[in-house]
Amino acid sequence: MIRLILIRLLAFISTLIAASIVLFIAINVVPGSAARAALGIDATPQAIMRFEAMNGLNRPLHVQYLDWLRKALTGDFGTSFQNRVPVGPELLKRLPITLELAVLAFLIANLIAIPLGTAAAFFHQEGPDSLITLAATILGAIPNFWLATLLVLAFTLKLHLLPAGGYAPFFDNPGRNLEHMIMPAASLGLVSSALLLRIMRTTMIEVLGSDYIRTALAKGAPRGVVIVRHALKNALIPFLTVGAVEFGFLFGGVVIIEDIFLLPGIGSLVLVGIINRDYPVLLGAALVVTIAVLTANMLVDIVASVLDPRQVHSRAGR
Amino acid sequence: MSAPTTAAVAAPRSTGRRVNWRRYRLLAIGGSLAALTLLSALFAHVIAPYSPYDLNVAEMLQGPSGAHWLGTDELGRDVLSRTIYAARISVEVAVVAVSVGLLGGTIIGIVSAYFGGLVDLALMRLMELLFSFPAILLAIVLMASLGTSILNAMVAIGIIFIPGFSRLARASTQAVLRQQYVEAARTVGMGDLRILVREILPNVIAPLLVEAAVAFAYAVLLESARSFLGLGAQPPEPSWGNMLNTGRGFMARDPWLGIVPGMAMFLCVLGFNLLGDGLRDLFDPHLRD
Amino acid sequence: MDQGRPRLPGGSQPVLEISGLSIEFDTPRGVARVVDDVSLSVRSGEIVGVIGESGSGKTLTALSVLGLLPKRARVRSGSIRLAGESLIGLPEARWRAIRGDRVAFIPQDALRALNPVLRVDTQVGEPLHLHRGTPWQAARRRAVDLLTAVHLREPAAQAKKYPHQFSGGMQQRAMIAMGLALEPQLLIADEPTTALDVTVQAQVLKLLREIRDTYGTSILFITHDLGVVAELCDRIYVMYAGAIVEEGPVRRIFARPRHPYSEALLRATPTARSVQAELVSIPGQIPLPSELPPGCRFVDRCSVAFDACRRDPPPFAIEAGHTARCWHCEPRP
Repeated sequence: MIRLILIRLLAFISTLIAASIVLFIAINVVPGSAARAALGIDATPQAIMRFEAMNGLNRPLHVQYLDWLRKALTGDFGTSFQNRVPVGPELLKRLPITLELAVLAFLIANLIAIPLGTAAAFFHQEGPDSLITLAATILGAIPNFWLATLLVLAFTLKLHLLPAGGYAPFFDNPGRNLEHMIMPAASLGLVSSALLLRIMRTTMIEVLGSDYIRTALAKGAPRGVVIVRHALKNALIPFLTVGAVEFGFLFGGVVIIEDIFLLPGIGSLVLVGIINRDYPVLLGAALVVTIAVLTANMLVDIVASVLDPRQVHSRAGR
Repeated sequence: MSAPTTAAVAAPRSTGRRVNWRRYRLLAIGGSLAALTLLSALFAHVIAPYSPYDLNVAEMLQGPSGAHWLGTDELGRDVLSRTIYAARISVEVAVVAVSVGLLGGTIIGIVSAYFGGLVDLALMRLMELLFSFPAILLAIVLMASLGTSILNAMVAIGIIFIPGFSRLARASTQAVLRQQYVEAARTVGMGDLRILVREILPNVIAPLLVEAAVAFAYAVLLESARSFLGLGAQPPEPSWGNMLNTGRGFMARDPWLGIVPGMAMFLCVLGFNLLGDGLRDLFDPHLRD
Repeated sequence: MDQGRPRLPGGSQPVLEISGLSIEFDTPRGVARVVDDVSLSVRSGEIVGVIGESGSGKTLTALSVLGLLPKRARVRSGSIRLAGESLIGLPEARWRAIRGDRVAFIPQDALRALNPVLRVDTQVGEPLHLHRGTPWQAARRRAVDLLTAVHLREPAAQAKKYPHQFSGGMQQRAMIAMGLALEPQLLIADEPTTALDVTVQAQVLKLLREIRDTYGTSILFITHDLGVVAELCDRIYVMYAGAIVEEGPVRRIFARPRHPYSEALLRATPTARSVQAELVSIPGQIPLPSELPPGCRFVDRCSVAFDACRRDPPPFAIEAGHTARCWHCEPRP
């Protein structure tokens, strides 16, 4: 059990380091643009050189990276090129917002995907299955930023029910917080639910065809009991493992959605970093998002392993 | 009923007509939508009623009418024409991206499976790393760092596709290698390259095509997202993404501006997704029963 | 097991009576009749064997008694009576009451038939919870009693484990314990020993006999292994390509099989070493339901076929309780 977690942790850290290297390289591929973005279009070559020297941008890449890594490990993510604001604290301030958005979207997606995917599998090759699958296919093709636009059109412009942007912290005012968060979370969650639904459907179909389901039926168990007590846990294990890939898409979508709804989270910071060529900001924000995705993946992996008695109990004990 | 059968190997024609129809339905719908997109891109100058750049501020923000089927935008330009022309960018980016991914992934996958051993291990580790990266993030960062140049965008998205294609190509190649005819070819003395091209490639194509259709849809999505964020095609060049972004601001006066570009994206993505699903069903031996 | 149910006096009414059962499958090539006019009965306290190769329809016959036929299969005609109650066309609610309680199923592959994420005592005790409303804690305790009854070692400790932690023999015992939970009148065992090795097989057979001797439970035992049949069964039915070709007391048929197929089976039966009796020494293969030859279904593989075999023979009585469907058994005028 402990070994399981340790292995996962090791994979996590090594992937994180590799990811930071890749990010670093990707960001620094085009030299000079950071300086120009910070100083303006008519910056003189001398100003640019001074800027680069000041920020260590003229050093070899690996030196820059190791320097950054060293500082990052102590929590120092540098300061923004634009406004000299330290990046670290800014990341910390924005993290809860992004996390809340991600969690809400995740909840919405699963609350739709798991019951409907199960229902589709239960009615496999009958009417409801085709209907649900079709709906999922259509839903999955909707770009989440278009869905966001449509939601704003409906609920803000036409119905005047929800605000189109901004944020209120949860612990200050839960009601207003949800008012601000529901459309962003729905935009992300609904589109994510499509893929998750199809995954749940597939795993559930396979589970329902198993011998142990037939055993449960042969004992006289009603179909509801069969699904909830016998099938669900077995289907969730592969569902979690396969569905974890959706986290990548989810956090990617966070970037756009935060921009649309003016949510001051990490996602919008990534965007700011990109537009302003603000490398410390971009690197820090992108890294945090990566950590979030990898953490989510690792958590899901662990949960799936814990749920599976075959992973928890070895065969040695007989 | 697992009795060993001496029945004829050639599968007899299915007696239920319903089965056939169902199977090709996805393909038909998906294919039509995909074709619509491609045709719009290729023949925009023929199909579109107006030029996408023609300003006419007097007629701005009008809803659908006889003269302008989908209305006009904030500068009086015909929305229908701009939507049709915008297909060009999406298709261009998607085609190059998918080609890059397909080519790169197929080569890596086949090479990896064929030579096995250390080569396989190294390549697959690399692919795994790329794969575990949040795709959109990598895309955005790559595109941002490489500038708004469209070519760079295509390449960046293409790189993201490589791991997925390589995995497929590798699995298919391994399945093919297990078959006997490759052994036969080797004993006859066929060179490695010829084996790769003549024996392995044709059998690996099918699942790759399916993946290509889905990847195409995703590429369109990524490009639209990029343009939406202002990192892609710049106005006045029309792209579905930047049309939606600008139109969003004017939705209060003309809701169509927030609906039409998104609808175009949606139909295109849906079309290629359905096409992929249809192709998958087509190639699936299980469903031939 | 203290709460016994009053048992029917042996022989008054069969526990299971199948009459003229025909089951059809929808296939792309048309409708296939996989079970053709099958009649069999099991009396109280009897162990009845159904023997045949895979594809003979024996498993489907068994599943029809539980109402668990696969989706595309249909009962075309015939009747199934369990202690007098007709099962065909029963509403689902009644089926649920019967399954596990009056008739229990013991399938072939115990590992796959056990739910990997539930504890053994939960699964073995579940019938009590489902049918008697026994709370879970009590049901699990009863499960330990049941596991003791099937001679599982250290039952209290093992009960808390998961199926993958059991050996093959232990898993099969757990399945049997599960089947016995509500003291059913009939146990349907579908090749329960096929996946086990010889020694374990012998133990399981001994257990089944013991169950019949102690509780009077009837057993319908499905197999392709004649060695097992000889040891366990009172009467047997030989099935081929969906129909019963010979039926009778086990000693009689073993001593002198009257149908060419039964005879070929017995000749092909190997020694005790290779228990998985694959009947490969009979040339040819079992025909598909959609490709049955006209006339006697065994005619293509029969060594003594003659011109009468162009017509499908009816069952001919050879002696009391022993019939065979072969023209060679036609009583001489």
